[in-house]
Amino acid sequence: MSQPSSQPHPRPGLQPQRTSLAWNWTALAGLGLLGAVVKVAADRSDALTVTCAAIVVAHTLLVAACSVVRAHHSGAVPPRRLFVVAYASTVIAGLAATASIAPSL
Amino acid sequence: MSDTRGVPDPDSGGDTGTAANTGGPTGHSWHEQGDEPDYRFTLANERTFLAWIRTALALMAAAVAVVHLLPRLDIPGARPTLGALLIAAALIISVYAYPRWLAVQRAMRTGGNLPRSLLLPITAGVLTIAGLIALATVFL
Repeated sequence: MSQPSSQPHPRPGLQPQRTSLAWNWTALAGLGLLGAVVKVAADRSDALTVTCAAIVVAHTLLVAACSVVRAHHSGAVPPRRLFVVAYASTVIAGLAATASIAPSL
Repeated sequence: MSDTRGVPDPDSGGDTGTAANTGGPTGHSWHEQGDEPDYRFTLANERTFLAWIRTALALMAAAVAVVHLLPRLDIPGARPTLGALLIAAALIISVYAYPRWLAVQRAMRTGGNLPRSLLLPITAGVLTIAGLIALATVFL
Protein backbone atom coordinates (compact mmCIF):
# COMPACT_ATOMS: atom_id res chain seq x y z
CA MET A 1 0.00 0.00 0.00
CA SER A 2 2.91 2.26 0.40
CA GLN A 3 3.02 3.99 -2.90
CA PRO A 4 6.43 3.75 -4.52
CA SER A 5 5.71 7.04 -6.14
CA SER A 6 8.57 8.99 -7.51
CA GLN A 7 9.99 11.17 -4.81
CA PRO A 8 9.49 14.85 -5.36
CA HIS A 9 12.50 16.94 -6.13
CA PRO A 10 13.81 18.67 -3.00
CA ARG A 11 12.41 22.12 -3.71
CA PRO A 12 13.92 22.79 -7.10
CA GLY A 13 13.78 26.53 -6.61
CA LEU A 14 16.33 26.46 -3.83
CA GLN A 15 19.45 25.21 -5.61
CA PRO A 16 19.73 28.04 -8.14
CA GLN A 17 19.22 30.56 -5.36
CA ARG A 18 21.96 28.98 -3.26
CA THR A 19 24.26 29.10 -6.26
CA SER A 20 23.41 32.71 -6.85
CA LEU A 21 24.17 33.45 -3.21
CA ALA A 22 27.52 31.69 -3.56
CA TRP A 23 28.44 34.21 -6.25
CA ASN A 24 27.50 37.02 -3.87
CA TRP A 25 29.66 35.55 -1.11
CA THR A 26 32.53 35.31 -3.56
CA ALA A 27 32.16 39.00 -4.36
CA LEU A 28 32.13 39.70 -0.62
CA ALA A 29 35.31 37.66 -0.13
CA GLY A 30 36.87 39.89 -2.78
CA LEU A 31 35.97 42.85 -0.59
CA GLY A 32 38.12 41.40 2.20
CA LEU A 33 41.15 41.32 -0.07
CA LEU A 34 40.23 44.77 -1.35
CA GLY A 35 40.20 46.18 2.19
CA ALA A 36 43.64 44.77 2.98
CA VAL A 37 45.24 45.94 -0.28
CA VAL A 38 43.67 49.40 -0.16
CA LYS A 39 44.88 49.86 3.43
CA VAL A 40 48.41 48.99 2.31
CA ALA A 41 48.13 51.33 -0.68
CA ALA A 42 46.92 54.16 1.55
CA ASP A 43 49.80 53.59 3.98
CA ARG A 44 52.58 53.28 1.44
CA SER A 45 51.13 55.10 -1.58
CA ASP A 46 53.86 53.93 -3.93
CA ALA A 47 53.06 53.21 -7.56
CA LEU A 48 53.25 49.43 -7.20
CA THR A 49 50.80 49.05 -4.34
CA VAL A 50 48.40 51.60 -5.84
CA THR A 51 48.41 49.67 -9.13
CA CYS A 52 47.83 46.42 -7.26
CA ALA A 53 44.95 48.00 -5.36
CA ALA A 54 43.43 49.19 -8.64
CA ILE A 55 43.67 45.66 -10.04
CA VAL A 56 41.96 44.23 -6.96
CA VAL A 57 39.23 46.89 -7.23
CA ALA A 58 38.68 45.83 -10.85
CA HIS A 59 38.52 42.19 -9.74
CA THR A 60 35.91 42.98 -7.09
CA LEU A 61 33.79 44.89 -9.58
CA LEU A 62 34.08 42.08 -12.14
CA VAL A 63 33.00 39.38 -9.69
CA ALA A 64 30.15 41.59 -8.48
CA ALA A 65 29.07 41.99 -12.11
CA CYS A 66 29.36 38.22 -12.57
CA SER A 67 27.06 37.69 -9.60
CA VAL A 68 24.51 40.06 -11.14
CA VAL A 69 24.69 38.19 -14.46
CA ARG A 70 24.41 34.87 -12.62
CA ALA A 71 21.34 36.08 -10.77
CA HIS A 72 19.87 36.97 -14.16
CA HIS A 73 20.47 33.38 -15.32
CA SER A 74 18.85 31.96 -12.20
CA GLY A 75 17.57 28.46 -12.84
CA ALA A 76 19.76 27.81 -15.82
CA VAL A 77 23.29 26.70 -16.41
CA PRO A 78 25.21 29.95 -16.76
CA PRO A 79 27.43 30.73 -19.72
CA ARG A 80 30.92 29.31 -19.35
CA ARG A 81 32.36 32.79 -19.89
CA LEU A 82 31.23 33.65 -16.36
CA PHE A 83 33.54 31.01 -14.89
CA VAL A 84 36.41 32.10 -17.09
CA VAL A 85 36.00 35.75 -16.06
CA ALA A 86 35.81 34.92 -12.34
CA TYR A 87 38.76 32.54 -12.66
CA ALA A 88 41.00 34.86 -14.67
CA SER A 89 40.26 37.87 -12.50
CA THR A 90 41.01 35.89 -9.33
CA VAL A 91 44.33 34.68 -10.71
CA ILE A 92 45.24 38.25 -11.75
CA ALA A 93 44.17 39.60 -8.35
CA GLY A 94 46.35 36.94 -6.76
CA LEU A 95 49.32 38.03 -8.82
CA ALA A 96 48.62 41.65 -7.87
CA ALA A 97 48.46 40.71 -4.18
CA THR A 98 51.73 38.82 -4.59
CA ALA A 99 53.33 41.84 -6.23
CA SER A 100 52.13 44.10 -3.43
CA ILE A 101 53.75 41.98 -0.73
CA ALA A 102 56.79 40.84 -2.70
CA PRO A 103 59.05 43.76 -1.65
CA SER A 104 58.41 42.92 2.00
CA LEU A 105 59.12 39.20 1.69
CA MET B 1 11.07 31.55 -11.03
CA SER B 2 8.99 28.81 -12.49
CA ASP B 3 11.67 27.66 -14.86
CA THR B 4 14.12 26.00 -12.54
CA ARG B 5 15.02 23.00 -14.62
CA GLY B 6 18.45 22.65 -16.10
CA VAL B 7 18.63 24.20 -19.47
CA PRO B 8 20.25 21.97 -22.03
CA ASP B 9 23.36 23.06 -23.73
CA PRO B 10 22.52 25.45 -26.53
CA ASP B 11 24.63 23.38 -28.88
CA SER B 12 22.84 20.15 -28.08
CA GLY B 13 19.44 20.29 -29.59
CA GLY B 14 16.16 19.23 -28.16
CA ASP B 15 15.27 17.37 -25.01
CA THR B 16 17.17 17.36 -21.78
CA GLY B 17 18.99 14.15 -21.17
CA THR B 18 18.76 12.88 -24.69
CA ALA B 19 21.47 15.02 -26.08
CA ALA B 20 23.94 12.22 -26.22
CA ASN B 21 26.95 12.52 -28.33
CA THR B 22 26.09 9.93 -30.89
CA GLY B 23 29.68 8.97 -31.14
CA GLY B 24 30.22 11.12 -34.14
CA PRO B 25 33.47 12.92 -34.74
CA THR B 26 31.84 16.33 -34.32
CA GLY B 27 31.61 16.13 -30.52
CA HIS B 28 35.21 16.94 -29.78
CA SER B 29 34.42 19.82 -27.46
CA TRP B 30 33.89 18.71 -23.86
CA HIS B 31 30.46 20.31 -23.53
CA GLU B 32 29.24 18.34 -26.51
CA GLN B 33 30.30 14.99 -25.08
CA GLY B 34 28.01 12.69 -23.15
CA ASP B 35 24.72 13.69 -21.57
CA GLU B 36 23.70 16.82 -19.76
CA PRO B 37 23.92 15.85 -16.05
CA ASP B 38 21.23 16.54 -13.50
CA TYR B 39 21.17 20.30 -13.06
CA ARG B 40 21.61 19.94 -9.29
CA PHE B 41 25.00 18.32 -9.79
CA THR B 42 26.02 21.04 -12.22
CA LEU B 43 25.03 23.69 -9.72
CA ALA B 44 26.83 21.87 -6.89
CA ASN B 45 29.97 21.79 -9.03
CA GLU B 46 29.58 25.52 -9.66
CA ARG B 47 29.30 26.19 -5.92
CA THR B 48 32.39 24.10 -5.26
CA PHE B 49 34.32 26.15 -7.80
CA LEU B 50 33.16 29.33 -6.09
CA ALA B 51 34.12 27.94 -2.69
CA TRP B 52 37.69 27.39 -3.93
CA ILE B 53 37.77 30.92 -5.34
CA ARG B 54 36.61 32.28 -1.98
CA THR B 55 39.25 30.24 -0.18
CA ALA B 56 41.91 31.65 -2.48
CA LEU B 57 40.68 35.22 -1.92
CA ALA B 58 40.66 34.73 1.86
CA LEU B 59 44.22 33.37 1.77
CA MET B 60 45.34 36.35 -0.34
CA ALA B 61 43.77 38.78 2.12
CA ALA B 62 45.41 36.92 5.00
CA ALA B 63 48.81 37.04 3.29
CA VAL B 64 48.57 40.80 2.68
CA ALA B 65 47.43 41.35 6.27
CA VAL B 66 50.22 39.19 7.72
CA VAL B 67 52.96 40.89 5.72
CA HIS B 68 51.81 44.49 5.97
CA LEU B 69 49.53 44.85 8.96
CA LEU B 70 51.05 42.57 11.60
CA PRO B 71 53.58 44.06 14.00
CA ARG B 72 57.10 42.63 13.96
CA LEU B 73 57.12 39.08 15.33
CA ASP B 74 59.65 37.68 17.81
CA ILE B 75 60.73 34.85 15.56
CA PRO B 76 62.91 36.28 12.80
CA GLY B 77 61.55 35.52 9.33
CA ALA B 78 58.21 34.24 10.61
CA ARG B 79 56.18 37.01 9.04
CA PRO B 80 57.53 36.75 5.48
CA THR B 81 57.46 32.94 5.68
CA LEU B 82 53.84 32.96 6.75
CA GLY B 83 52.95 35.52 4.07
CA ALA B 84 54.77 33.60 1.34
CA LEU B 85 53.13 30.34 2.38
CA LEU B 86 49.65 31.84 2.34
CA ILE B 87 50.03 33.65 -0.97
CA ALA B 88 51.56 30.55 -2.61
CA ALA B 89 48.61 28.45 -1.47
CA ALA B 90 46.20 31.11 -2.72
CA LEU B 91 47.83 31.15 -6.15
CA ILE B 92 47.85 27.35 -6.42
CA ILE B 93 44.20 27.14 -5.45
CA SER B 94 43.08 29.94 -7.76
CA VAL B 95 45.00 28.51 -10.72
CA TYR B 96 43.70 24.99 -10.12
CA ALA B 97 40.03 25.88 -9.45
CA TYR B 98 38.85 26.17 -13.04
CA PRO B 99 40.60 23.05 -14.42
CA ARG B 100 39.07 21.12 -11.53
CA TRP B 101 35.59 22.46 -12.31
CA LEU B 102 36.11 21.49 -15.95
CA ALA B 103 37.36 18.00 -15.09
CA VAL B 104 34.42 17.33 -12.78
CA GLN B 105 31.95 18.66 -15.34
CA ARG B 106 33.47 16.46 -18.03
CA ALA B 107 33.40 13.40 -15.75
CA MET B 108 29.75 14.00 -14.93
CA ARG B 109 28.84 14.32 -18.61
CA THR B 110 30.64 11.18 -19.66
CA GLY B 111 29.74 9.14 -16.58
CA GLY B 112 33.37 8.69 -15.59
CA ASN B 113 34.91 8.75 -12.14
CA LEU B 114 35.34 12.11 -10.49
CA PRO B 115 38.97 13.24 -10.59
CA ARG B 116 41.05 13.13 -7.45
CA SER B 117 41.88 16.56 -6.18
CA LEU B 118 45.29 17.67 -4.96
CA LEU B 119 43.76 20.87 -3.63
CA LEU B 120 42.48 19.27 -0.45
CA PRO B 121 45.83 17.94 0.86
CA ILE B 122 47.61 21.10 -0.31
CA THR B 123 45.17 23.38 1.50
CA ALA B 124 45.14 21.25 4.63
CA GLY B 125 48.94 21.03 4.69
CA VAL B 126 49.51 24.73 4.15
CA LEU B 127 46.96 25.72 6.77
CA THR B 128 48.48 23.27 9.27
CA ILE B 129 51.97 24.68 8.71
CA ALA B 130 50.66 28.26 8.91
CA GLY B 131 48.86 27.40 12.13
CA LEU B 132 52.00 25.89 13.62
CA ILE B 133 54.04 28.98 12.71
CA ALA B 134 51.37 31.22 14.22
CA LEU B 135 51.31 29.07 17.34
CA ALA B 136 55.10 29.24 17.62
CA THR B 137 55.02 33.04 17.39
CA VAL B 138 52.55 33.13 20.26
CA PHE B 139 54.42 30.80 22.61
CA LEU B 140 58.08 31.39 21.74
